Amino acid sequence: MYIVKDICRAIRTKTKKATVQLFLNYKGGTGKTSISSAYGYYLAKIGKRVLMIDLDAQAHLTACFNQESIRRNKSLYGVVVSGERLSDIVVDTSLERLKLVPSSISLSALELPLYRMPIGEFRLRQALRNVDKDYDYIIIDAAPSIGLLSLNAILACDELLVPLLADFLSFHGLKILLETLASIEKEFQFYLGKMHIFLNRYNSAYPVCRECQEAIHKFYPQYSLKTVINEAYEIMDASSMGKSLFEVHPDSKAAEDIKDLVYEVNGFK
Amino acid sequence: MRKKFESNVAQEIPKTKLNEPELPWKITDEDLEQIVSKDEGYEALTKDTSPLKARAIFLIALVSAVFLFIVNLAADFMTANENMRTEMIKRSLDTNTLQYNLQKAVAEKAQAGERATQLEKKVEDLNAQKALFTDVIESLTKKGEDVPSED
Repeated sequence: MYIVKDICRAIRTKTKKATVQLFLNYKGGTGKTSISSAYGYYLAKIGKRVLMIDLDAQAHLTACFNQESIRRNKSLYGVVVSGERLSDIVVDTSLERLKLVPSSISLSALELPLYRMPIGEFRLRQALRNVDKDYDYIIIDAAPSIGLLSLNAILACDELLVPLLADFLSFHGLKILLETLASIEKEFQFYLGKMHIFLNRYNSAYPVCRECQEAIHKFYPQYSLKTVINEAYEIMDASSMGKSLFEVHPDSKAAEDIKDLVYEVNGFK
Repeated sequence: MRKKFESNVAQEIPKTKLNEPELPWKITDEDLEQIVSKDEGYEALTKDTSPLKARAIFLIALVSAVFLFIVNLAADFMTANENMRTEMIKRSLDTNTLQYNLQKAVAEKAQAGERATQLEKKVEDLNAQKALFTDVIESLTKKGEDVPSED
């Protein structure tokens, strides 16, 4: 009976399409890379098959997994421009269920050929179709820029996660992001699956943080998460070591916050 | 502080499937695949084959188009030629008919002239006869008046 159940689950797992989640904010330094790396790691730790994609030419997510110094013949550039298989550039990480599509400086030259290609906005979405049955979650870390590559990521994703620093300038940046997303919806005639806005580097002792939190809940109640990622050095510490937060500081408050984030976003109990 | 946040709220926010039912995509996955394969096909055609071979279809189409144009031109020319010939024959026929009618009219006129001459001559003859008969009648009348005086 259990064997049959396992087989059924295996078949369902194999045929079910992955949920593509994108960490995006046009403002830099909001913690997209730090949080997405820990987020993806935790998902893999609890048994999900996770593919992380680093879309930033600075390759910070790649550095978080200690893969930035490895030279490779193939990259995401070839996948998006030349139609090479995404599965050919996937690399292993320290966790078996967690795979990574590393970035490199070649991504900085990707915008120009994309503009000249037909359906240049959908290249990443096309590329993901080759691997979306192999994973439960595909986590994309986008660059903090408004460009064709970011648009590719938005049009490829099912859910959008927007980390926000708890200050006024980030709140202003959120305004620009939301208005841009609204115009993309109109232009491409599609609605984003889900959007989750959450605060990062939150410090309840600072009044501006509390005001920012109130403003988020007041003006964007349908998208704001209850979970906040508190200000913590552990996240920075882990990324500087090229390891995950859950490897270096598994019992920290930051790790708890990331777990809460994973559970709240995905509806796990 | 509160006012600063309130005055920086997005005027338009994405609707998302959370609030709206899913919109169908303007472009489907099948459309994307078709566009990509066409593009790849064209790229393969231009990259892997020699320039002349790659343009063979265009060359054939061009030559065919030129050939058809010339044939069409020749056909138009021949048709115009034929029409002109038919027109000339028709005009020639009309001319001949007119000439015949003219000749006929001339002959009738000549005939009428002869007839008129004949009639004039007859009239002269009749007038001469009349003059003669008048003389005869006068002379006979005169003779008759002379005879009774002898008694």
